Amino acid sequence: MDLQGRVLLTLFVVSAAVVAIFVLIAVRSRGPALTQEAVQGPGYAVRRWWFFLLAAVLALAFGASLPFYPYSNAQAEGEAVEFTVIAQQFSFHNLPEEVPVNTPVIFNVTSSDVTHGFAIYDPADRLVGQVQAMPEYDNQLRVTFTERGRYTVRCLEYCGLAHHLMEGGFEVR
Amino acid sequence: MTGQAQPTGTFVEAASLTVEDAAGVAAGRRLMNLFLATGLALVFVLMLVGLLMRLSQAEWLPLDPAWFYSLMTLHGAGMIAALVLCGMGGVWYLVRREARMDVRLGYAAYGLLLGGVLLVLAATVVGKFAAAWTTLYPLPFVNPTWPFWSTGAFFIGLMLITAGFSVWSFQVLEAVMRAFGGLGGALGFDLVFNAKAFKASGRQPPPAQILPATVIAIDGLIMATASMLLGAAMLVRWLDPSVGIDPLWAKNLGYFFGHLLANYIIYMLLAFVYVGLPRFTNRKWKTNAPFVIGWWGTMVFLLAAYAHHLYLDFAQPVAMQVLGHVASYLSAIPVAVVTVYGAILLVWRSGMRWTLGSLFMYVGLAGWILGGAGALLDATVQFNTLLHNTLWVPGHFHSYLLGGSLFFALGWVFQSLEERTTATSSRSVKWLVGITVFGGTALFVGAFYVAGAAGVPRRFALAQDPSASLAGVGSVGAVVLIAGLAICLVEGLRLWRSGRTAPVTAGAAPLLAGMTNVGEGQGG
Amino acid sequence: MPETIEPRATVNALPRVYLLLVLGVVAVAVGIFAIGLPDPHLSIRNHHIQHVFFILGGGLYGLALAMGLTANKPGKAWPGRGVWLAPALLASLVVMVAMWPSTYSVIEANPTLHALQHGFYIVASAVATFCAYYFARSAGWIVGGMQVVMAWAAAFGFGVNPGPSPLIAQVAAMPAVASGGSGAAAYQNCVACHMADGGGMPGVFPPLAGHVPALLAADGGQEYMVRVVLYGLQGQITAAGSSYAGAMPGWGHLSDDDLAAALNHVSSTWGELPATASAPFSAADVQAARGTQLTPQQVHELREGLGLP
Repeated sequence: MDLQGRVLLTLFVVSAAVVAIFVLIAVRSRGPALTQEAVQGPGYAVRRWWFFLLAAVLALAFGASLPFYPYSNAQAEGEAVEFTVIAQQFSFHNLPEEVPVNTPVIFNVTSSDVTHGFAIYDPADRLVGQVQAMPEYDNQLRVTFTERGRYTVRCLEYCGLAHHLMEGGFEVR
Repeated sequence: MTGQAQPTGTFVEAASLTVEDAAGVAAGRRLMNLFLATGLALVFVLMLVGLLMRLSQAEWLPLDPAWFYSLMTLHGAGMIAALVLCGMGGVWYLVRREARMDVRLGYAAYGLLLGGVLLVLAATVVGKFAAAWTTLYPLPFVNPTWPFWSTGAFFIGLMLITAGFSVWSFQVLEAVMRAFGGLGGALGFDLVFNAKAFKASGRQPPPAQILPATVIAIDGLIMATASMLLGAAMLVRWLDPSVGIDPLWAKNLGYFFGHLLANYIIYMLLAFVYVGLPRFTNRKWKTNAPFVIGWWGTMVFLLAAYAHHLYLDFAQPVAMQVLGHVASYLSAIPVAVVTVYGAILLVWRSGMRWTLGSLFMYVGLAGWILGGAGALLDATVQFNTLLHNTLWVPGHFHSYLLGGSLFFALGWVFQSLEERTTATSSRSVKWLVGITVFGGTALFVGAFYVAGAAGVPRRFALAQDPSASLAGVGSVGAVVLIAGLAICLVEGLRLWRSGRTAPVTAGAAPLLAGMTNVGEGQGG
Repeated sequence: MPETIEPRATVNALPRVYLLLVLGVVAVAVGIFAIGLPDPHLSIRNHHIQHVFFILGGGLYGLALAMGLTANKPGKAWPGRGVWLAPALLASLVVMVAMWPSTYSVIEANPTLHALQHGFYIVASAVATFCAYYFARSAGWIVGGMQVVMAWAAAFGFGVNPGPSPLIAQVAAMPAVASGGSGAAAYQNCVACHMADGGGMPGVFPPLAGHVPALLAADGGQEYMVRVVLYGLQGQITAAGSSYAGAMPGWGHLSDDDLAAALNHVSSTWGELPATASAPFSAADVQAARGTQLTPQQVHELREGLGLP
């Protein structure tokens, strides 16, 4: 399963758990009632655990995600192939026809008019990477393609009435 | 000492009111009703607009792109304004119960918001302004496919909305500072830094709903600083194309404004839950140290988290990206640990009666958590590279705004109706509403999340499968939801009419009549 | 509950008022001298920062005045003075709008206008804080702070922008795209949508091959084509049997020569030029068409009015 699929599954599992907990609590609200004082003691104790658990999960998640930040300024290790793409309403200008497989590739992306998105979809139409294409600024998308085939580039930042028609592509060989 | 709960609540206004001010508070309630009625009516109409969008994406009713994108712009700006109206009205009234405020200024804020909404409507429906509600510079000005006047009308509309919100913020902030002893008092500093002395003095901390009012008023003025500047810059640029604007600067300011305003919605409408849920459960929402600290956290994290909208602008300083990530995660803690958990403590073993009012509030809390889960995942930079600008984004914000904020507002409306009548909603109506509204919402929102995970881009007027089929599922969910809300409207009218013909007299507490095992000893 | 805010009647507010006035004078002086004098032609960014000090000074003056007028007046009731909020917010907004960056170079050349502009900032920001103070004391400080922050933040993007990315010039200079009068090279601008073979994308981008001759043969078709490339086209059209509901942006930023070359290229490459349209497009045609600016919708109306294929 690709990364997005795993993220969706995580959301589904968390949602199911949340719904289950809420249903349980709702069901338990019927039946013999307790005063607020009776509930408070154990309730606050549980809350302390809940706080530490949540904080720990979030801290771990943050720490685990740091190495995967896409902002590394590491210079092209000599082997990287660079392409410059200019996004404009409503096409990607200067897209390469062919991109080498299993090679670090750098797309230098900017726009000549409004902000666009530069999003790459693999031959199975899965999103594999994206970056904003903003006028007056350059963004670099670093990616290594491991699969051969026809890749599609779509604009993912709303840019006008033909935004949904703005598409390009290249072959990875 | 039997540990049994006792009925103590009535629906009479807070005991702190003096008799002379009852008229003023009643005027405040009328103002709130105006805000709520306008906001909810707008929400309903804009839901139909949203349905049109989903139907177009499902290719069942393909719209001309000029219509799709201008309706999309209307839907975004309009829904935000509509829900902001609901929140402003609620908080205004709840603060008015604690401090005098000039109702005319409240009406002025209302008028400004309404004016803004009307301009937005004109710009998008008549002018076909279609730069999306985020109006990402320089899109409104480059190759516009809409007339010159509509660009200005839209920006002025947004500025009127911000102006109205600023007026509200100033008024609310002044009132809470006056009533609770300055900013420190309203924020509960003494509870944390002077706990013993505070307790010994016998003074009461501010009621729970004052914290959201104060925090949002403060943050609202910070937001207004950014949006006033951006609005001025956009107006000048509209009139004078030779003025240069830095697109990244405009993007930062624009997302600061949009992120904050959208978040304020749920935090404002939360005040309804802070006041309403205790009445359902016959317990108190306590303003204690963890509670106020949670709100201080929210006040700060909300502001910093806006940077999560710019993760894929690699030109941003990396420190900002990290700040956005950390603040987004941290903002989950007060919500989950203080507010939602606190609500759970209120509901747990409370013998609460499940009416439409309590159902909406309770499910709204779950909806908030679910939307938050989707948000936390999207706020993780690594995942954001694959989810940014896909339908995942509308998935998560519809969970919050629809499955959270709107449900809070509906919960309050129903609670108000239910407390004024001896009539109750039948079991079958409750089940019907539950299935259609909650089921429809789940289907509608789920379709967004699944499509987002599949990489389907957002803001596409048309796209090929799988997005079209998923949009179809979403459309069905939306139709079911809208049908459920129509049932709510009918039921609400029925409760309202019976409340007028057979009103409950002060002192009676029909809401608590269904509570089980109500004993005789002094419990609470 | 408290109905009024008691003014600090027992404390003499005058010293504080004088302090604010002095600070205000210092702020304005910094604005004039520290940033203004050494460099007569400031960048827009430095102009904005200079104005921050005027706005700070003006704000302090307004607060001092309000404080002075309301000090030592026992029993003054504050809540309800909502009407003061309107001028407070409006004045702050007007200050920002008045930072109209494109006027700076003009105003610099005219010392009277320059002094007036700076005076305006001081007065307007004073009005803002004064009025806000009359709504609520703290509001005066808040508005003062908001103004200063806005003015400072303006320095980073209002009239100040990096300019087009150098990547664009690099790409334009690349052999494949550099024009130099060549129609094929100029057409590279159109290739992404209309394709190298002029076939377009069915249902998405209309074809040029096989379609342009029909346009040229029709009355007014040639003039229409010039306007399409200059101003774009938006609205539903039927071309070569298919319906298109997209939007074409204008290309007026290209030179007259490039546009004419591209138009000639699409007219001749894929089909015979009909006899009626013997004269290909000239740069002068493009130049002349720039005289009347059209919106993409108006170009569409032109097309409909002419009944073009």
